[in-house]
Amino acid sequence: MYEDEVLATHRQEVRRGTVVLACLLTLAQPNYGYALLESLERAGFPVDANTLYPLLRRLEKQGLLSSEWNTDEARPRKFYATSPDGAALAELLYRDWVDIDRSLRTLKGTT
Amino acid sequence: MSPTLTDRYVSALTRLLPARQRKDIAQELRASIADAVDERLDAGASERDAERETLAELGDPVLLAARYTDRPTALIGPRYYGDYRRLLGVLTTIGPGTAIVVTVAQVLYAVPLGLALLAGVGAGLAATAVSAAALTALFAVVERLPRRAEPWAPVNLPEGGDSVGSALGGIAFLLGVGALLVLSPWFTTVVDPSGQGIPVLSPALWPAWAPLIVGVLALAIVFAVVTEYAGWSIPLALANAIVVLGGFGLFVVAATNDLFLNAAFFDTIGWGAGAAGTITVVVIALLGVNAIVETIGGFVKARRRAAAS
Repeated sequence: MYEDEVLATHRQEVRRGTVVLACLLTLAQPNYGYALLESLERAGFPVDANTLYPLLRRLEKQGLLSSEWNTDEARPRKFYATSPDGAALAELLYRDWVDIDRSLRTLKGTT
Repeated sequence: MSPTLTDRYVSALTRLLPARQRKDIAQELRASIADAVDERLDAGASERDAERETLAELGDPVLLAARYTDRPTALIGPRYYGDYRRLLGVLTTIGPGTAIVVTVAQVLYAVPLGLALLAGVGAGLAATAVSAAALTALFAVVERLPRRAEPWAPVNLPEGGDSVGSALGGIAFLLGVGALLVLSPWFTTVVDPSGQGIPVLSPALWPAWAPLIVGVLALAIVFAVVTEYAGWSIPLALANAIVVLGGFGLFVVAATNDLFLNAAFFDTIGWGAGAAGTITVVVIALLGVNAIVETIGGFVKARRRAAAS
């Protein structure tokens, strides 16, 4: 059958877009980079640190996340939170995901 | 105190970031690295291993910096890679060609065969290296030109069908003119009574004028490729007019100051002393018509593109 490498690339392709959606949904509660990495992993969205950190910056630049430095603790951390625009986009993407799920079920004939 | 691995990692990364982002990203990344190291220490790793593993997981700082900046990580991307490879393939034939011409020219001047071969191979290698480097630099620049803002439409298809073919024709012509110019002092079969070679082009071109003209030819090659790939626009048509009319003006000044053809050459082959002057006038007229057509053509193509989009 197919090789493991083929499987890995196709899975990655299917999951690629879900990381953005998972970030926007999770960050309804403000959080910082490393903690977000861990909570995404626990929630079933494993993502590499070197993918997540630049992604947070990109989403912030697009106005989908807002950020704030928290200097209360000894280690200053940058906290990100989903902006109203980001929440609206997350809602839209989530509905897309549900639609895709429904369409796939129809294709499989298991509705 | 010597810098830690984390210090080295962060500075290797921020070096590649725009100045205004450096401090913020560095501070955030240091906190993220420290968090990840703490997690590993809690799990029982040694301090040394914890730091190493954390940084290894982040990967090459060059690639991470590229992700932060959305910069292209390839010198020449997929858009131009195919054309680049094809042109590079064609350009590598310049090497053997130059080697043969230079070797023959040296032998004609009674240089021993061994030395002539050495000079030929040297010249061939130099010609290959220089043209390949110039082509690579050119495509790297084209890759970084701002992409056109309007969406792609069929009107943007190259005029000639085969874009590399038409660009190649112009480039081959310019390279040929350059080679003739550079080799003309050595490569001639016409000799005066004392056995000294008489070049077809004016000897006064050397040494001052020839490099200038080679420079103008190089500029024209660059321009041919840029207009081919970036598409015509009014600013490019203006620049085209300056290059074309300026180049023509330079040629007229040179030709009317006996810096084009060598009158002695045509006299020796029996065409008469006036032949060089007549040929010069005809060439000036042809180049003049060509310059006008090229200049107007640039504006017409730019207007057509603007109207079609």
